[in-house]
Amino acid sequence: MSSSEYYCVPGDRLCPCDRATAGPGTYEKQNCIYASIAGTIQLTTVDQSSNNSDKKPIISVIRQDRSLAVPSVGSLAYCKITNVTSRFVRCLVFAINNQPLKTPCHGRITRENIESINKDSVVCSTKFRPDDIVLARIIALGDANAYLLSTAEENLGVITARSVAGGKLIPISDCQMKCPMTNTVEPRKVAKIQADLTDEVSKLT
Amino acid sequence: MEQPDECFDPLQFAVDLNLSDIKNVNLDENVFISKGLINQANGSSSIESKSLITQANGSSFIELSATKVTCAIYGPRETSSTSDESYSKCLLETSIKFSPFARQHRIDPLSVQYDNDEDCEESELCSRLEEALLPCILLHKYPKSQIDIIIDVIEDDGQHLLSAIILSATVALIDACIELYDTVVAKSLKTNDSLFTLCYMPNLAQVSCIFFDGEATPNYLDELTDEAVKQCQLLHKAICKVVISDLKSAAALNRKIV
Repeated sequence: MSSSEYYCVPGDRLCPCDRATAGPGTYEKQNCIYASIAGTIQLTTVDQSSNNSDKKPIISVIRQDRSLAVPSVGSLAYCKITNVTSRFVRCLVFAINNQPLKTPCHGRITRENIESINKDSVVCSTKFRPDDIVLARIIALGDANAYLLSTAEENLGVITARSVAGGKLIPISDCQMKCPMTNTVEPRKVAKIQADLTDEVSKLT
Repeated sequence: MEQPDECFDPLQFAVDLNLSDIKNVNLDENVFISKGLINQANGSSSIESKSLITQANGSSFIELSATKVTCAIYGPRETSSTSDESYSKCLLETSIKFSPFARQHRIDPLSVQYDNDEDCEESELCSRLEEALLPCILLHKYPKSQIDIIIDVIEDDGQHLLSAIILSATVALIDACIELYDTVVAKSLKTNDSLFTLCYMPNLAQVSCIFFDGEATPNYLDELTDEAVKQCQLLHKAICKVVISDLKSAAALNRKIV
């Protein structure tokens, strides 16, 4: 990756289409790539070994001090559960792809999208409780009220939650969490902790 | 890694151009554009970059002659509208307010009617602003959301108001990091009793809209258009310079903090 000290403003013509692929912060028009935000120009080379003929570098415009998080299909969303019903779970998305949103937006996880197996026998209230912090993936823009989210992956689900007694729950399996204060076991759809997170925890202890 | 041969140095658009130069060319007219203010608090211990309006995503202040305008951008945020159009595209919500002391005659804040009066001047300006900006925003990048543009007119000299409003909105949109096809610049020309405003996208060489109040022959309109396009290009250079110098100072600040 090569970062440059070249600055551009929206509308600046960067290069013709056949020399590079348009990345974030750029758009294509009339066989040319133009900048669509103000920032520094960055060229990323595509890994030569990774198959196909597309060896053009990716040109993108990066803004260091301020980047805009926009909910889009396929991105990871951090959300807080607000309401659990028998058919779906309502939540408030407060961050997208590790970037906080200025204003939270509404999301919804339907019963069928909670687990990847035994979808029909899922009971929402044994998977999520209000105030749980959940990592989910946006699968559709949904209707006018909410984005459609899914936790049907093993690394998606509840990241952190509090028990009835108020203790911070500790995950003990993929569907159970234990309260350290009362030793009661509560059911949850637990997210498989990523490797980098466990490394971080082991460093702390 | 080398950059492509045809890659332009964007700085070539902004070389050797001081705002004072514009002052000379622009027929004794002051142009002052500001995107962000940098506050240096408590000596050297804490340095922070601050926008003009801190709560907003992007903000700007524009001074054209005696006309002074501030603009704040909020969003893109979740829209409350449920129309089909808002589902695939972003909505633009504009609001323009005059300060009580903006004009020669003071507006009594108590006597201003805030109900939806369709033919009041503010809503007229709002619709013109939307007309000028809609062609330049990549609306499809922000589905199900809306962008709020809030403009305060601090002072109005009767000539540059519309162009100042459009310029401030453009600079604030750039500041808010919202994707644009091009930077829209606008120039108002006043002759006798007619007012001509042209909104121009310099890199695409497209006119986004023209407003004209008064009477003129087609030839005269052509002349006005040519003159406005020339002045728009100068304003565009000024905007580029402000935006890039702001980016540079932000980058320098980041380096200091790290």
